[in-house]
Amino acid sequence: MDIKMLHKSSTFSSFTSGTAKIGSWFSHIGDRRRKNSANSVLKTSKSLQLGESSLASGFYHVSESSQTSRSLQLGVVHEVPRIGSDGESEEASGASDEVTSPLNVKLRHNKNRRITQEDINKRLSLPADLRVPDAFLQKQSISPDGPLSRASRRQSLSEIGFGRMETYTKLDKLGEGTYATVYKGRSRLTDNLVALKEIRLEHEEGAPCTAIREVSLLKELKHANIVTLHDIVHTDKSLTLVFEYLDRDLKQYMDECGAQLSMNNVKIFLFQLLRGLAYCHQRRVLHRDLKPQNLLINDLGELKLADFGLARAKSVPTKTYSNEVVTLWYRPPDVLLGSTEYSTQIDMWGVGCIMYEMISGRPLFPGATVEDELHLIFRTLGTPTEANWSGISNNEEFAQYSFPTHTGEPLLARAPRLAHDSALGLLTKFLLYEAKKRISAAAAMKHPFFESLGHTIHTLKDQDSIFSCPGLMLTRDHNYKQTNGGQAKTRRQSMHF
Amino acid sequence: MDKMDLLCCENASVELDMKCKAYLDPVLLKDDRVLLNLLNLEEKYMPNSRYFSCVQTDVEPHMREMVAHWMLQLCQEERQEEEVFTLAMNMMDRFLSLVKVRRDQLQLLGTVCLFLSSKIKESPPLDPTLLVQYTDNSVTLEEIRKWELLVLSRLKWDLAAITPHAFLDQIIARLHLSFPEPEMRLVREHATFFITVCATDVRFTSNPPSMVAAAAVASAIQGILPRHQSDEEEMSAAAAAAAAASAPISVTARGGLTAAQQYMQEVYHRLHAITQIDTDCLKECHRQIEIWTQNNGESPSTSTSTTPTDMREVMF
Repeated sequence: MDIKMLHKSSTFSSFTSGTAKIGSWFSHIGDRRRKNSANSVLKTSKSLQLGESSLASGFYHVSESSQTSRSLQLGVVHEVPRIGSDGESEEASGASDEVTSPLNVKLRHNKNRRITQEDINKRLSLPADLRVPDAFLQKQSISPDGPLSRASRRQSLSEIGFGRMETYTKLDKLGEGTYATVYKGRSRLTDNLVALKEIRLEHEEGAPCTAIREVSLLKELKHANIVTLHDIVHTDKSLTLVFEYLDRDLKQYMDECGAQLSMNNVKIFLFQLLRGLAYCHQRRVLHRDLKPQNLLINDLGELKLADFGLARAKSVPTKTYSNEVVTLWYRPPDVLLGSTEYSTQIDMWGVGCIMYEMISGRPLFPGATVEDELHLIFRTLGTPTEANWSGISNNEEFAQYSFPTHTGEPLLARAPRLAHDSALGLLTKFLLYEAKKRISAAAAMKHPFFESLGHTIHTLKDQDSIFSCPGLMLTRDHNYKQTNGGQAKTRRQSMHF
Repeated sequence: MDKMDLLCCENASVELDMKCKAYLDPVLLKDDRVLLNLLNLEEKYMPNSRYFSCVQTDVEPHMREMVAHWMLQLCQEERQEEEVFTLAMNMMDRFLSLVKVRRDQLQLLGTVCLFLSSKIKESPPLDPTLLVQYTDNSVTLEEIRKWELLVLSRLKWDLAAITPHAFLDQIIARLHLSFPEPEMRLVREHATFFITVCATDVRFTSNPPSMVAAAAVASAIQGILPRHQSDEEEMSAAAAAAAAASAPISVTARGGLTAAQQYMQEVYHRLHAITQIDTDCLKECHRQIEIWTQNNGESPSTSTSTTPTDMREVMF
């Protein structure tokens, strides 16, 4: 069976050589058309299809293509190097970007009307805390009203400073990874702290997959428990993602607490984690790299999922991923044993590990290698059998390890606080061997474990903070020192890019 | 004849079977909010279907088709998953809706869109040096890098578009079809093939992804039905079984419709209930797919075919 039959002509017969130079074919079409009358156009293109194999070689060096006017200069790259903070879609507008509409759409008679910052922010749908530069305010006072076209809005955003590196001041370095360096920074527009994830572009492969996935997914995710991407700045050499800044991650929070978190706080954090995950899963996005270092927490106690570099839209993945998908400690046994089935339940095992760690103050399965990790899991939960993991007896990898038969240890003995509020009941629903049977994020939110948080937590809108629920407050954890965001030098953060 | 050949491409059947597929995830399929989110979001990622008349002056529809076929073959040779091609075409159409390009830049654009799409959908992504080879060195690595940033910025990094593939399992699961497992797989594979076909044809760019997916499923089911036609009773039973899941319908002959026609009526009815797309629009989209297969099934062996959407007939 050959595609040639399908595509009705031998247009791509040269494809067998593995290459095709469509640009020059088109140049050729252009040449021919100019010579021929309009009537024969159809005939011409048909003859092109039939006589293509000769064209491929015959028009190998159509130099015209490199010489003629560049209707599209590459310099454009730097011209509009940003996204708006709004997510407004531009696509359907149909207008070519080359048509720049003037800023002044309608002139008002009353030129003395003062344009306040508030007006501007409203007009451009910007956050209320944005500080617009004075020069921009003055310029706007000439053209205060009328509908704002997309092009002029974008131009305005650029003038305000979106998409420009000058807008952000780099402060401390927070960490470094293979692709990116993360800095704490400050936005000159809002005076707020931001996290600047700077990605170098020298790599042969261009913009890193992780950055492309993270940004394209985050733009779709707007939720109180998911970190907000404010801006993207790209230059020739680097790409900087500007995120909201949160004071610390859950790992640090637990370290700072010294001992265990109060049960109330465990519930508040866990519920927010599940809320963020349920939202992602409803949008076919898996996180795939859950760990305390990726859960950011601010002083209010709001928890946000971060680092979506390994997440990707849930379609039907057909190829195996690299083995380092999930940090070992939070990696489910099915994945450790080489399973390539990636579904929403892949995230739920990690939730269980994090829940245990918050309650007990210690990581559940701190394995150093895959074998070590599996061993720790089986020693605690019992070596899996056909009864609790159907198909395990046929798993080759599992057979190769030939683990001893453990009966498991009661988790209650290791963490007595699990006896409270049916915590153990929920935990065991996360830590099931068979992925399909693990509780979903949405179902876990309804578990009795969260009863003490009240009922309003189930009626929150996507963007509402959990702390908008009456009576819900973070307990001051023992030993926990409130930092004012100024001493983040020791901050640990996932640098798994 | 092997059903794997339906992927219209090569003899990659073995590899296809070995590729890992996510099992049908009940969290994604049983939750209506997932489908609702898809339907609400899909329009955000749609191109302006009139870009050839509104934006482009040099590039013409047949050039898009040519580049599309080149891109499709590249994907098939490199064994990319189906959605890489569809997503790349979406990026290309959206970019062409915004920016005027010259004809000799079109292949470069297609190359960059494939590159970006594979970065989102595949791991590892396509190798840029390989892409350059596929263009017979008519684009350079440097151009790919620059245009990558250009496409990213013009599309505002909104690359994770919703493609018809995203709707496929959602729709099939909600149709409650009563075909046996091998035929269910055929329906899915045929529908996947039709979705790919639609992406190569510029006329389908104005249809929302959910409509393309629904029409592709309808075409696939229609292609399967003749198998049952020999046994009218079985057909009626299938229709009855399918109907039993929702409102019961009468399967006794109505208005002279054959059992197959009745069955399709019910399929349309349900597709409408699932996607909220007007039945007439669905039928029109389905008809377009039929026309495509008729036009492209001109090889001698298919001249006797009476069921154009049956790809087993069309392709060989």
